[in-house]
Amino acid sequence: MKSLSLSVISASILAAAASVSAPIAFADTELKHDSEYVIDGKVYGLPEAKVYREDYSGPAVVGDYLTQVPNLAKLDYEGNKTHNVRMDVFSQKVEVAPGVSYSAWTFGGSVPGPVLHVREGDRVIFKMKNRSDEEVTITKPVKNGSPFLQQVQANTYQNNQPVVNPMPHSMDFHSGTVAAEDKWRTISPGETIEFEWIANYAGTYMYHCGTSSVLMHTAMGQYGAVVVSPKDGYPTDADKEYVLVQSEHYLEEVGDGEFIYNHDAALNRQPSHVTFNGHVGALSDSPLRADEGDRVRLHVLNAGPSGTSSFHVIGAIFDRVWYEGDPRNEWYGMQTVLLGASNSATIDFIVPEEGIYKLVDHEFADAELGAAGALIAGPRKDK
Amino acid sequence: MVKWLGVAGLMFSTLTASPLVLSDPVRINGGEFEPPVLLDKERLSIEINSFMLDATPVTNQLFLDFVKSHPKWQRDNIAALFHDGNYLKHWPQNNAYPDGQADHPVTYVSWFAAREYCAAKGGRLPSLNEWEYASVQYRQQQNISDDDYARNLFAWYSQPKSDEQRVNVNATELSHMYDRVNEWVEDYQLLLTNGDDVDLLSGSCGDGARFLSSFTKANYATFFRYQSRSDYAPQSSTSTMGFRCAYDISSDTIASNGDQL
Amino acid sequence: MNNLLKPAAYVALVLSSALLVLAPTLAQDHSQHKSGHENHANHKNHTSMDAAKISHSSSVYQVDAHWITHKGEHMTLADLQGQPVIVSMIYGSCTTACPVLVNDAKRLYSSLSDEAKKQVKLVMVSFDNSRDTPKALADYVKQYNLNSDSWVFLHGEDQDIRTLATVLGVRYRKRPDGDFDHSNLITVLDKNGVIEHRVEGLGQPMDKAAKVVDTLIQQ
Repeated sequence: MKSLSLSVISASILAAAASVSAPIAFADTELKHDSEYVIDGKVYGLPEAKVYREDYSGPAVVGDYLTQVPNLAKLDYEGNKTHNVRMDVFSQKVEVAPGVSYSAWTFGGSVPGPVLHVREGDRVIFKMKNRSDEEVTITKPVKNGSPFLQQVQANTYQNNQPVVNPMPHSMDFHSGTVAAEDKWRTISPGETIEFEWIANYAGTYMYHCGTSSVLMHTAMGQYGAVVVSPKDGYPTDADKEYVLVQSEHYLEEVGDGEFIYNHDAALNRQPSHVTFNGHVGALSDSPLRADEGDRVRLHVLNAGPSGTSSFHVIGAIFDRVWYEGDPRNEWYGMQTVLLGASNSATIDFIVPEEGIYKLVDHEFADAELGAAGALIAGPRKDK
Repeated sequence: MVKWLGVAGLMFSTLTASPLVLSDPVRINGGEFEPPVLLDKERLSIEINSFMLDATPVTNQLFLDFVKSHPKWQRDNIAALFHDGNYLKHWPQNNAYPDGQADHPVTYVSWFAAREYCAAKGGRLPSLNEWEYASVQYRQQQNISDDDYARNLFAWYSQPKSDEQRVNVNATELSHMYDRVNEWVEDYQLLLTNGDDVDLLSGSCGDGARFLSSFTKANYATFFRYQSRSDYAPQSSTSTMGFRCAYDISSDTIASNGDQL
Repeated sequence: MNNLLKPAAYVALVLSSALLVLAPTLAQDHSQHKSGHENHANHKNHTSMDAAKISHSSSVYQVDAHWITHKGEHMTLADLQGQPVIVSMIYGSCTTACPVLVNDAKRLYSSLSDEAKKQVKLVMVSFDNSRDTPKALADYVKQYNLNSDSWVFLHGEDQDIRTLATVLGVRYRKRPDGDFDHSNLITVLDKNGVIEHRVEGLGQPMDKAAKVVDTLIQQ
């Protein structure tokens, strides 16, 4: 995707080139179910969710476009696609700071959960089994798992270990437009839910568990990001693209490095830790990488559950900001972006010089509690 | 107030070193109860009749005795309608619990199985209000402050596995209301209503305050227990769900309660 | 303990029709239950007979409760085997949702094929053990002019009402004023009593449910 005018040209060239084979449907409004209809090119009226029991003990995360934060899968296809995505829900011991681990409730075994990347107009057939009453290991190689699992195995910075903690759970994709009481319904341990949604709007969206108490379920770790890339791309062309999810953790020590959720602290908004990508050291132990002169694009999601983020990169100015990741919400020359709980922004900045660029929540109480990371820029490469 | 298993029971309980002594249910004296969670728009004071409640959750040993005398409820025989496939999953055999776990609360029991057990003992599952009413008495007996209650409850839910799962089968007062298992109650499936309609939000989007008689930590914790249990299927058989039975009080209750073996 | 006293009559009833099957079960029971209130256990054990009869492990008819119809006849749900059944739960003194729910069932019935109309049973189970006596249900049937052989209104014990509601996925709660809050649900059962289709809410379209029943009839 080049600039806006270029992308129109390139799209028409591609369309011309492809006219001998299958047509490229950038606004694929192909309907699959009788119930579906289209308004302004967006698909609504998806079929009812299915809830059932299945004998499944395979990989907990399945799908080619699911990655571990801060990675974003490359969309290596033209036009639209139907994604078959599985993201099981289960408990996992995760580390959020050195010596601080707790039994998290997770999607896919990490906090935040896997990043899903799709294109505006794509269809997602989503499947999730509530495996909270069984041990699920994500750190051992499996067949047919998503890139997410390989990336966790390569960089197990949360030291993920299986634990059992049965609870009812649900999945609420902010990127979907559906009847929530149907698709986002709660399932018991052992049950599987399956439903579809269409990525009608471009942007970076939160997903989370919507089961009561939502505060507890999200604070326990059940959230992540879906990046819906605009069908015509953004007006600029990024050299590097990363995903960053900020969240608060409300933990208290109950003995010997064992931490548990503190509901009182969560209600009072007194986090013990605030992290980027689920660990105070996630982006300092493994900093983001770029080179001098690069245009870096960050998809930043503030998952909350209750706090705000004043996201800032020390030494850079945001060249462009697309609030919520929608290319129509374009801002220029911003020093800081304020994100409420579940807000996101897609941010471009130019790396001015070789060096270290600190990423912070400029609400410094949050930065002190862990909301800080780094981007390390190497020397300028010839373009 | 001690009852002994019959001869058959002794024969079954070969895994225990000494004859198994079971404590009697304890009497919960009735009275006025103002539920901490408002299921109706108006605040209501409810009259709770006196009833008996098992002092502890039902143990593996007791449940084994039950399934031996009720083959329909053995793991190999239970109808699919009544469980989710994990019924008594942790038992090594159809008619045996894991070694050394005689006094552990039985888990992996569906709501249907729990009710059937209690019925076979001449009892029933406690109602939600009865259980919570007993819970308030328990907190008073044990001197558990509201803050500690809330804190411990959320702590248990965030990490329910403790190393110590045994219950005191000789308990003479209510025990282990919060620290062993989450317990089935008869009307566990919450129905939050708004006049004739089922409540639109059902407290599922963090709107708990509408349902609390006062927004205290303890009430919030109780609401959480209500809500999260309400989301289980009645077939759910999990590692943390157990139960205890309640018994109506009639003239001959104590003499006859549930000694089936 | 009210519910514990009920089964004796029923055991007698079952015995008359199924003595041979039941007798060994009873004998076995007596060997294991030595005293006191063992009689309630018997009503559980008559189900070992039903279990053999009910071919489907996930059939609603696994609920082995004993019901009384608005005509005063005793029955179990397993007696409904053999034809599709439309089942819903209501209570007689309900003036708001329940008449709509009954009317919904009526609408479903009237959109069925003639063949289906002949065979299908409409079973309305009351939440209200204390007020909806068989006699009261008979009055209800009269009042709403549902007096055909297709309609069956059932009176049951509280525990059994709770079991059936839970199996069907109906949530309800008795309010202190004696009325009930309940979810509105119409369920279609196949010939074996397995749930085939559910219509949630009041005044819903019935085309799909009717199609389901018609298909079941042809099977």
